[in-house]
Amino acid sequence: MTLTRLLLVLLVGTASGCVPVAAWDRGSLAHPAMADSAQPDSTAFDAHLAGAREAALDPAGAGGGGCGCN
Amino acid sequence: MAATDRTSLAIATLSVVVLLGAASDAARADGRAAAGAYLYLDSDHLEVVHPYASLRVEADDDTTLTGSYDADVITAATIDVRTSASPRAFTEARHGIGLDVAHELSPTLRIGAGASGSFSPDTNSATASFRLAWEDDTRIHTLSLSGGGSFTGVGRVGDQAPAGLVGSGGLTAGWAAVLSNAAVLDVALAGELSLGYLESPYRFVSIYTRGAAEPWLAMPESLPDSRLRGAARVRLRVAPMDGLFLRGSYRFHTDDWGVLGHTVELGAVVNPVSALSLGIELRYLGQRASSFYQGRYETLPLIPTWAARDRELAATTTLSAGLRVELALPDIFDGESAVYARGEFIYTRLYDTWLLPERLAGVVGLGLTWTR
Repeated sequence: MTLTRLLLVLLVGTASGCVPVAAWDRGSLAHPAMADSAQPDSTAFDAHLAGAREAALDPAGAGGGGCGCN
Repeated sequence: MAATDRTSLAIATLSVVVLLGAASDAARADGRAAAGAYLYLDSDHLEVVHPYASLRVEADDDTTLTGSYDADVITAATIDVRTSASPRAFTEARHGIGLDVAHELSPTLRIGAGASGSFSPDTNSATASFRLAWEDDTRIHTLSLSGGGSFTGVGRVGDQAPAGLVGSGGLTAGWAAVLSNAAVLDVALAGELSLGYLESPYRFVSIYTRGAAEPWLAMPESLPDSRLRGAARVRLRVAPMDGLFLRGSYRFHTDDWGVLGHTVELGAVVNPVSALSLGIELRYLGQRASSFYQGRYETLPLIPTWAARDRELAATTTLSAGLRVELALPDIFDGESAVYARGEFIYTRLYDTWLLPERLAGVVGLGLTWTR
């Protein structure tokens, strides 16, 4: 419950703190290092490795499966 | 390395070359091509060579197609790489292929779908997936939904038929918010249900009488036929100054087998000059064991309903640290190209395990990318 409350506070606080950013002011946001997957090839390998060696589900890799790790 | 595995490695290398050739044919269209290889080595005497290649091309102004190939050429001290080393060494190869299509329905709505297959001598898997992402008109909020399902046949090398089948389906919902011109926060929730044969046919569990040195019984690993997993992640990406980018995330994961864990990841990328990118990554994973996992089953005269030998179901602490260097190369085919090198150390402590309670792994990777 504590975690849920913390998440709710975070979400509400974040939503109220968001600001529009003009197109000409998006230089940093558009940089590859700020992308969801900054290095897609490295990210894919990391997900493959974690899928084979860890028990956790990763939101970045959910919906996949079939790691062939047996 | 056996002849068959040299053949597999040759096929993998040839496929990479063919994809690179296709990339040069596609050089007239916008897209992205990538190829490289990773080498994984660990103290369990597991060695994996992982070549990969991918090619993305624009089918039209709103649609991209991506094809990918990867392989694992595995040399290990044991037939079961997740349990413990044994005198029975083996080598084998896994091949994976993937196709993906992405389409921009409108400036604020993107959809995509993919299919992939993974093929090895003892495990074959097919996966289908979908995703959609919607960005509001102010470009502050992005909502996403993705999901997919897979079907896997699990067996042993040489068996006429699979030992069992596994079906999995999962959904992920995400929300990303632009906090400022230099900060993005995102939250993702994921769930996955797996049904079917979740054991490994290679794993056997020893059952002891209390205090005995020798096992009284060795029985095949026995796990529940369903597993519901969930995870939540919060991540913050910031650019505090020109040429410096930081990211940090926290993930909580759990499942109905009793596994529960926390993951913290921190990363930094610095661009001292525009052509050079240096990155550092740190990761911590702490995990509670599944409710039925025991390092040693002293249950006689009772035979446990569930008995796991998989070390990944044990209580675990993993620490890893990595470095990444990326260097821009001269433009070719009117596109930007770059080479990257990456190295990582991973230390894993597995609690309540009789054999190999620690694992030290090293990963090195080298890759090329081309984008236009």
